[in-house]
Amino acid sequence: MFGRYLMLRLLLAIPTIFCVAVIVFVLMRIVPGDPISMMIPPGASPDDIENLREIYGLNKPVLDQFLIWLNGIAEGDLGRSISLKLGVGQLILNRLPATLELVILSMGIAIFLAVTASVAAIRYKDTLVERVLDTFTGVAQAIPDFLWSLLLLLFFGVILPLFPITGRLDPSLSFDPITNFYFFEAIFTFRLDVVWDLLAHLALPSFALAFPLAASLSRVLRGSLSEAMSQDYITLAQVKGYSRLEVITKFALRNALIPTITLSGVQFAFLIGGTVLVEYIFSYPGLGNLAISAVVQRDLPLIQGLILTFAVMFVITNLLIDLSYALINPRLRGR
Amino acid sequence: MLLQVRDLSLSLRDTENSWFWSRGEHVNIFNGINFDIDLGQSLGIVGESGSGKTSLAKTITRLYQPSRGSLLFDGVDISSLRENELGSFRSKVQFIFQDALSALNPRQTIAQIISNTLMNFSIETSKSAALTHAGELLDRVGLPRSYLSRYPHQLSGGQRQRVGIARAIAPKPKLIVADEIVSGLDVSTQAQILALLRELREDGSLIFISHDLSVVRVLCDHVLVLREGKQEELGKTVELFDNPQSRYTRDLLAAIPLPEYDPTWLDREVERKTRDTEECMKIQGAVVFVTGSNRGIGAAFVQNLISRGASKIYIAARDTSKLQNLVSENAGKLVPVELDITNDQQIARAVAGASDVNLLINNAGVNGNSALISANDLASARDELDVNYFGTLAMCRAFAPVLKKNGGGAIINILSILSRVNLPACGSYCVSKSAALSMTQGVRAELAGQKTLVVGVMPGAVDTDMAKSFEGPKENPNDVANASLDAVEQGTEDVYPGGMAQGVSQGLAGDPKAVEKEFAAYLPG
Amino acid sequence: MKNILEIRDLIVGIDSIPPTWILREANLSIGEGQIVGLVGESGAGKTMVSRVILGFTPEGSRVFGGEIHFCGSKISDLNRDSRPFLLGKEVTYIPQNPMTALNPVQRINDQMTDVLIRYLQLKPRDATKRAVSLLSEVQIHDPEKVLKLYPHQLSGGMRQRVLIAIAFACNPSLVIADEPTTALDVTVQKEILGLIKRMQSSHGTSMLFISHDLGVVSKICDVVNVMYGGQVLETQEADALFSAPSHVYTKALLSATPRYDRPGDLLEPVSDRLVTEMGKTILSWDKRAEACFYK
Repeated sequence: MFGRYLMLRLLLAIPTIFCVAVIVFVLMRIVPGDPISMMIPPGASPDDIENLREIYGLNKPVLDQFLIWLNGIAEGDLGRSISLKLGVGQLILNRLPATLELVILSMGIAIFLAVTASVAAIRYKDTLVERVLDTFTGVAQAIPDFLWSLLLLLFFGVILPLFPITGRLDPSLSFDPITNFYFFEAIFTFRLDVVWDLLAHLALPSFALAFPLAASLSRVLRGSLSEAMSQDYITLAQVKGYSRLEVITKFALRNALIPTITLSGVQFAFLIGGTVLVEYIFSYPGLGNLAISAVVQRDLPLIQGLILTFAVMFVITNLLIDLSYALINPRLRGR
Repeated sequence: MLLQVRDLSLSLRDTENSWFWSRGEHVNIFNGINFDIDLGQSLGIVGESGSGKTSLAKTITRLYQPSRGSLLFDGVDISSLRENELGSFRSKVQFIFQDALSALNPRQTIAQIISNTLMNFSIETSKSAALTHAGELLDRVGLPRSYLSRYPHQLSGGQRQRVGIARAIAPKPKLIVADEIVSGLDVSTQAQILALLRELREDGSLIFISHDLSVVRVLCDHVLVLREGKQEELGKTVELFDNPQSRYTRDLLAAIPLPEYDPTWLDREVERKTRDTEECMKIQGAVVFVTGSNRGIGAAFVQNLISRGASKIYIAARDTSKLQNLVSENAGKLVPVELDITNDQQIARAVAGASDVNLLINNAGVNGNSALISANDLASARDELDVNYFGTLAMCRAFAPVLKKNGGGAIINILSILSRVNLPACGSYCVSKSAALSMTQGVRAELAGQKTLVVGVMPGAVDTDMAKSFEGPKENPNDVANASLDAVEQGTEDVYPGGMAQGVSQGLAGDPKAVEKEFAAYLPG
Repeated sequence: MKNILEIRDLIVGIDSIPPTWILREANLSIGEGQIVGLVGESGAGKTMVSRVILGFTPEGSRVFGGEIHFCGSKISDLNRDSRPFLLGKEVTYIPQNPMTALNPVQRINDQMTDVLIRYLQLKPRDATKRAVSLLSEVQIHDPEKVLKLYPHQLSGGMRQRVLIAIAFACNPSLVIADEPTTALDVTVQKEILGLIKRMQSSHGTSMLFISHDLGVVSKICDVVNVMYGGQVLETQEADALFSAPSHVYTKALLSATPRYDRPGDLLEPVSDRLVTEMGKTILSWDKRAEACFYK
């Protein structure tokens, strides 16, 4: 039954992505600004412009353009970037691993911080610890990720130059990867120096992304933890002789994770959005950086391709979240 | 009659297992509920969790729409009315919820809650009049008027329930449906609320839903026992509690701990429980003897027995030639027996050839459709008595030793609702069926010692050749067979299959004379 | 007879000004191998008695007077860590609502074996074996299968059986059952009561049985205590209490309990006069206590 449920979710993802594609396409056509005007050299003749339009298919009716684009997607071709003159698919595949590494690390840090903070706050309820954690959570949530980027960059990159502040990898290191998943490849090839350097570069942007996320996750987690703590099965666990910390971690936490996981799916969307600015600030060569230059250049095919990629990532993440939801909540298993 | 409920059934979609495109399977919540309530009567609906009692209450008040059956309120069938047509019904029927706290708006004072109800139903038109009226209602339910300015959360559970009652009686309803309204309360508070409800009983009718039979005994004059969505038993409170007909009701009563010292009570349960499960026989694997099996209810019995997995069925009829087809279709399972139950030799031969029977179904019967006085002669009356009474008795006598030898088993006697009241148009038939009912009771008592369950089935008109001339609602013979076999498996002694039988039996429990008068209208010719 | 637990003139209240009294000189003793009933309406303080024993008292509460003895050793405060017994091993608990008392995300096996591993130092495999025999002791068929299930896959009656098995797992000397059958249907209630009684006598455990239901208490308890307003008003052997109750409140409760074997007009609500009288008694106790502890 659960397999059937998964199949259904996968099938439902197709119309979702299709809708995103339609919306993106239409939006890109109705916003003001002409991509061709951005790329023509000064003094180009109307014929030249017409020529360019023909090359990129921009002279055809909108519906035809859309069908051509869809057809391309079906064949794995996302079109050609106007500004970079390269295949959109290739561009995205080159940059995607960098962003994935950043996002996964941020998510990991956020979850770790959120769980630790919530457990501590519940364990030391009504003490100074709880109030201090409250303050931290409030601050972390109030400051958006790009501001965190600037703050971290200022303190730990400039004033205290502990971490590199731009790029993904020190170019002086001789590392010649086969894939673009530098981090995983470095681990598998035992290049610890590379791993260390990658982590140093990731540290500031990933913490900047993780702080606000951790704060909002821990709000929810704490709420559901303290609700779980008033449940009868917690009383029973206490009467079985478990200490308060054991009761929280062994009994309440897993139950409290169920609503939190649902939220983290929504949060993931913000995280992807967050990478755009944060990557730009740290000149991190990921999708976000690519997206900014694509927007600045009005590179229609590239923007379309990127948004589609983000949509697919979002759908996949939510699918994974549904899966883990079922793993944690036995009521959903076997359905 | 204020409310007549006939064959009321509800099935809902299983939303738990619904998908984007399929809306889930229909699940039966309850079915075939029949009862009447007169003005001023109170009916208790009792059942364990999952019996469907709350859904039944919500269907009676039309918060749910029934999927089958009729709900006659003041003579109007409200079962399929739309919400906007229910206006006057809504003011005449009020629902009191179990959880008074969540049923009362937390942001309104008691005064607002009650006066809003009064204004909504246009009992009062001005605010000040509504407020005075609200005060009077609080007097009525025994709360000080000063509580008008309080909010629900400032009251205790018992007080909130009183407010719920005040709100319910505000529009002067004819019927109040109360769902488990005393179950969360302390004994002393509960007793006060029960006393209040007893006082209010005079003003209108009450349907009181509860899991607690003791509470129902205090409050109600009729009781309906519900079990897994089926009407298990319906009767006057005094009779039902003193002499419960269904085994399930007896079990429920036996499980209630009375506040008396009784050190053997807990052990008794275990002992009885194991006996029960052994006692109730299963149709699956049973060896059955069915008389009059060639048509009507008898034929339905045979089909039903086959589908329930009876291991062998003796199908007896006066003329077995028509049974050949059936026998060849179910080779090895069916044994045709030529039998006229008024013929002692044939009976003796039948018993001798069927010594493995553990369920006897006395279905054969005749109906001459003749009256008592205006009939030409006594031939029909004699014939009916011969078959319906003497023949059936002879069968019981002949098979009693066989059943004893085979561990008790069961006898089903197909009687009629006319066993209990005379329909003059077929007066002599009723007499013979009445004799058969009395005989069934006597046989039951005599065979109790050998653990033979004797079931009396009293259907209304059944859609068979026998009732061809009867124009009115008729039961499906299959339903009759089904209910009878259920009774054997559950150990029920009296079965009233179908709406008509239920209705008449309910009527007899309330006012036998009225039923007699009603039937007296059906004169011969 | 030796007493497992003795509570003498226990006064517990929330430490505010004026204090909120919860137990007003309550007395209770539980003899070895006895089932002792504690009946009363809500607010009578019966749950507080169980919490005092277990060490789960509300925030800010403290012992103002009186003594608690467990197997001869005195418990002087409400702190859980100062209990002279191992909670979960020597003193265990059967909760009220079986539907919510089991952890929804843990298999029955884990919820049963944890105490066995923790307190009897069994290996997980041996603990599971012991869990199987415990489950058959509480008459669950196919215990191996049930151990692999999650709580939501079991009926209420089954879950209460599991909880009873957990309570008796380490052969405790005292089991506290707090309204263990209130949430169940009558027929299931009867089975569970029989089961509790059998488990109690086969393990030789003492038991505190808390209930608001006089009927239930009459069937399972050896001795019954009637509580009201934080005091134990009457303590009697069950047969004596139900045949000849001595306190007016007990009598009033008995006649306010509806009975299916008696017509409704015999039901007598507790009279207002009695309620006022008992309220007065409590009020004067409170005044005396305030004078005693705050001047």
